[in-house]
Amino acid sequence: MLKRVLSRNRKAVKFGLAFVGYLAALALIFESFDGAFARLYLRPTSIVAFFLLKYLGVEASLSFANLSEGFCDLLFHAITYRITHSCAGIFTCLIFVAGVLAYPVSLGQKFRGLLVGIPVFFVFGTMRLALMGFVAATAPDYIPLFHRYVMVMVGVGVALFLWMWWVDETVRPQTSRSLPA
Amino acid sequence: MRPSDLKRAAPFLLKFALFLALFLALWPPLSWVYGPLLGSAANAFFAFVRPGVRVEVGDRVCFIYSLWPDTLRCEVRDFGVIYLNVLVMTAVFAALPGGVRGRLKALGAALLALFVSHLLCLYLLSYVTIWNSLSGAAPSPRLLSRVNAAVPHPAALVCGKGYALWGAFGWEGLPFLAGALAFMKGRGLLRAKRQSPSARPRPRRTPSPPARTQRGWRSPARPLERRSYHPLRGEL
Repeated sequence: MLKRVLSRNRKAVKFGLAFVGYLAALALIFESFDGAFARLYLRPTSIVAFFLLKYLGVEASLSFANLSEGFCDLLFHAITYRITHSCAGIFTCLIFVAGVLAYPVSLGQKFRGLLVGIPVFFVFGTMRLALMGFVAATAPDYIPLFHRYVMVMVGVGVALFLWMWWVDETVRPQTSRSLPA
Repeated sequence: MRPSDLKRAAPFLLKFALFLALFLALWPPLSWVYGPLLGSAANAFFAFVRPGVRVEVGDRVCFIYSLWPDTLRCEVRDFGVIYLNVLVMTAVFAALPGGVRGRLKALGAALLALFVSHLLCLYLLSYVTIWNSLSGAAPSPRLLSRVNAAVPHPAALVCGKGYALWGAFGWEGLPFLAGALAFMKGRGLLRAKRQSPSARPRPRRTPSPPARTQRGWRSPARPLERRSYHPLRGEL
């Protein structure tokens, strides 16, 4: 019976396994090069978010003393908001990358998807940090709700939306080409 | 991104926002149902595979009790029990453009996958508790991965790292996968390729008898001669 179910959903199983495989590989890469991710993603997003907060009139200072340990601190008058990798949305970005790599299209189309997607996630991560910083400055009690619930849902929504848009963009030309004129 | 893309994306975004609002409204009832359901399923599962371990699943916190070798209590915060099922629901319902039956089937499959993943996580965490206790360490008062760094029992370290990675990628990856599969199904991208009529091999025509021309007999099936042509030298 399992064999029948698997053979009927072969494409879905193949995509699912590829997604899980790529995600596991990306998780291992992330674990091995934690510091590089901190320097290349966490630090720039934090800096841009810090300037955004400054532009919004929120007084704060940014400390990179603990960047090698995978986090930096946004210091307000009363509290310190610790910015971690998950705050900047790097995991959502890697999930999107795994989704793009797992989808069965040519390497060029995958590359185009990543080229569009990763900068969007950079912007999203910055906005997310700025919003979290704003919440931390104005209503610190709501940080857990925003950090672990609302922003996670929004992150998954953004990743799915972007991925679906990319799939539509890559699939549509192929379909129109294969149809008879 | 063109305006037509935005027009196509509008239903998805609208539904997503709707479910986001619904989630905030449905939070308490979901925690009353899903947490105890998971807790009793895990206890039934542990009765067979891990006797001596008991689980209590709350709204946001989960407790693992180990009765052997000592009575221990391990607290796992932010277990992600309650909000993720709604995430899956949101992703599936928002992305699937099919009928109600198809949506419910996809939702059921996604929730089942989530439930099983939670059970596996509890199983993993029960090992961390036991191994920490065997190595003489106190069970973690907070996140296990942090405590494991201080208590380097190798098996507990591996399990703790596995749980931390699953927490980083799995909680969001699973809803993404469910939504992606639902979307692919809705777009018909998971169907086996059917040959289009134009792609099917045409039956070979039987050669018609040679036609009589003014120049003599000529075969109608003779292919055209391929000639190479150089722009400067002319025909080669």
